[in-house]
Amino acid sequence: MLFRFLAALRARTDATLVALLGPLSLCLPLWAHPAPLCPAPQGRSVLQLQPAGDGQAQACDLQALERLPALDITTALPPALGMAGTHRWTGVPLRHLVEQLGGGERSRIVLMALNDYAVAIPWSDLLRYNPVLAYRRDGQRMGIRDKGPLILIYPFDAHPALQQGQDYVNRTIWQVHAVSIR
Amino acid sequence: MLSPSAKQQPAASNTRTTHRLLALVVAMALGTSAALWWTLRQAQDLAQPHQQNDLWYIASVHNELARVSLLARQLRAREASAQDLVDRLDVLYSTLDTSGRGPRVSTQLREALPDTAQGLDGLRTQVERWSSQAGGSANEPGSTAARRTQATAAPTQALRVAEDITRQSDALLERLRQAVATVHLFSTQQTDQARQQLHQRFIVLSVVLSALLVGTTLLIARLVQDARAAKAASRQLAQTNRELEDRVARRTRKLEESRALLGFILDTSPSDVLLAEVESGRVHFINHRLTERLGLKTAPQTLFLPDLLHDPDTRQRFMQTLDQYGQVDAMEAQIGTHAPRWSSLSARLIDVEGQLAHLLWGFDISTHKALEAQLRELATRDALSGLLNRRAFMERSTALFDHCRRHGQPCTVLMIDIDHFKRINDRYGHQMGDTAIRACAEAIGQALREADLLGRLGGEEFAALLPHASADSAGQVAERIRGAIAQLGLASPAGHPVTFTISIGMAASERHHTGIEPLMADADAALYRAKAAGRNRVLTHEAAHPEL
Repeated sequence: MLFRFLAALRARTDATLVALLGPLSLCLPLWAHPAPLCPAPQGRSVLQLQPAGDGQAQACDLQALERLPALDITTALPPALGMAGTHRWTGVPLRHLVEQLGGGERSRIVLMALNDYAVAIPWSDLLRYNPVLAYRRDGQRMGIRDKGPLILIYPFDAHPALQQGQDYVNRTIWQVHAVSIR
Repeated sequence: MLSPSAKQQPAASNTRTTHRLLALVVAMALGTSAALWWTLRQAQDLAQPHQQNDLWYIASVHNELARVSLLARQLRAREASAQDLVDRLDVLYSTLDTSGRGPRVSTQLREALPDTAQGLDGLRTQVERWSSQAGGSANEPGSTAARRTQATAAPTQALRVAEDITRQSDALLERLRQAVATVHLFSTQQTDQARQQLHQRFIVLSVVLSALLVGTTLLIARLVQDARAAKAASRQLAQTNRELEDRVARRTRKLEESRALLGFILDTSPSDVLLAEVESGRVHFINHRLTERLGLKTAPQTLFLPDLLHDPDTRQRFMQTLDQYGQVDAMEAQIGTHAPRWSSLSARLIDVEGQLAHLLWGFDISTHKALEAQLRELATRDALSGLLNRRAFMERSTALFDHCRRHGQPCTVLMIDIDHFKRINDRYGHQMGDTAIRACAEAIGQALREADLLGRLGGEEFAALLPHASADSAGQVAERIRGAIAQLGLASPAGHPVTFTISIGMAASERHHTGIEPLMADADAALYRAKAAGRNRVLTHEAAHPEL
């Protein structure tokens, strides 16, 4: 009971602080007081975010994700993934998400899929290839049957090194429903 | 020494070995190429990663179905929403969807385990039906919001689907568990097959590599053998070469000795020897005798044969003959430049070291020539007076007269005869007669010019031919001669003074004189007249002017 009250108090204080010191907060280190990425989800939650440390888990809907900075990657995927053709993938850079969640070089970043598939993404990948957590393919949202609603897309065409082994085939995770930073 | 058959045998076996080696190399190349091609094809197959894990696939299906089953129970207990069920059914459906997967999952599994594949197909149809019943529009990938409203609108439908799922799930899960075991067995078999295949491939590769190793070893052995044989052959060659060099050196020494001997022979021979190139004049050989003859201290480096010949006419004749016939035999010519000497020369045009050369042999005949000249002198001179005898006078006066006539010059003949010569002989003896003739000849000679001819025709008769002399000038000469004779102060052995006179008949050449004889006959006629007219006088032939 006491804990819940304290948590609520802290959340309210944070909101007030953000409202008052909005512009100032940009100057602060982001992992010090991570702001909620998806404030007040309207629609159905598609992504669970577990921030670094003992931060509270957040739920995001697609509309909230679409409000975050977006990036396009146009690429074909390795044949082993079974998704033929070159497509334009639109989504949030995973690095942005991780940084917003207070993650960094020493964090362990794990993405989990609806079918219990899970994979750890090294921080170096985010720096080197800047993969995108895509929510649109060629401008269209993707249903669960189409391996949506979220797929982690690496720019395979831009980096031939990505096409070499099984690693990046494994890291291209679909039906993502949770991102966890530990 | 090898017999011919023994020589041929190694050659034939050599060819056969070479052919065998060539076949070996070709076989190795072919084998390696085939292995390489095959390996490259394998490498190409392995270039792309394949997600072909059937076990993960079937396990996922099992898990998702279990989840759907759990969710269905929760839905019935009102602990989960219809949308959750729809989402889970979608996940299950997408897990079942093998259309986009690797070839093994879709085709091989279907071929190897048709029952399992059929069961999975049936499950997919079932899930499709549940999904459409629960979500209504699950077929079309519409917005989640739209689906949500439908799902919330049909909770009863969802409840019915949940009931259906709960009813069937246990049997389905049981079948899937069996399928997991079957696929596991199938997968292990597949893995083992792949292992065996790889094993076989590596065995094939090792066979090819072993063959290559054997071939390479054979080639290296052959190379070593060849290298040894080459070494031995080169050693033998060096030995043979040394022997040959020794033999050549011995022969060269012998040759030099015989050459020196030949040189000595040629040097000491009484003949002149020269061998010189035609074009360059390079002297191949010249003996001491000829060197000395040319007035040189050492043998010259270059010498041209034509330069040796003194007389231009002879030189031309000599060289022409030599060029035309390639040889000249015993031609008499004078050789040497400042003190030419007569030689009998023989020459050959020969080839020396690819160049034309003159070979000259010469025998000194200057002594013979001097003797010959002396004999000729004896034959043309009168022994008593030293004048030309009749034959020589006639020869030379004929030539001189022809010369004058050809050039349109006048010439005059004097016929001189001592008056009463018989009396001198009778009175003072023949010796006095000879003295008179000698004195007379000397006196006449002194009165004449260098170009004039004088001869003793016989007895006390002399004849003189004066070229380029008119009758007048010749007449003066004749008078001078007559005067000189009259004043000769001769004395007999007994001391008596001896005087005598001469008569001279003179004839100048006229147009009708075609030779010396008619002119001499005219002069003779004039002499006859002078004798008849009382002697001691000069009379000119006057046939053209009889009235004078």
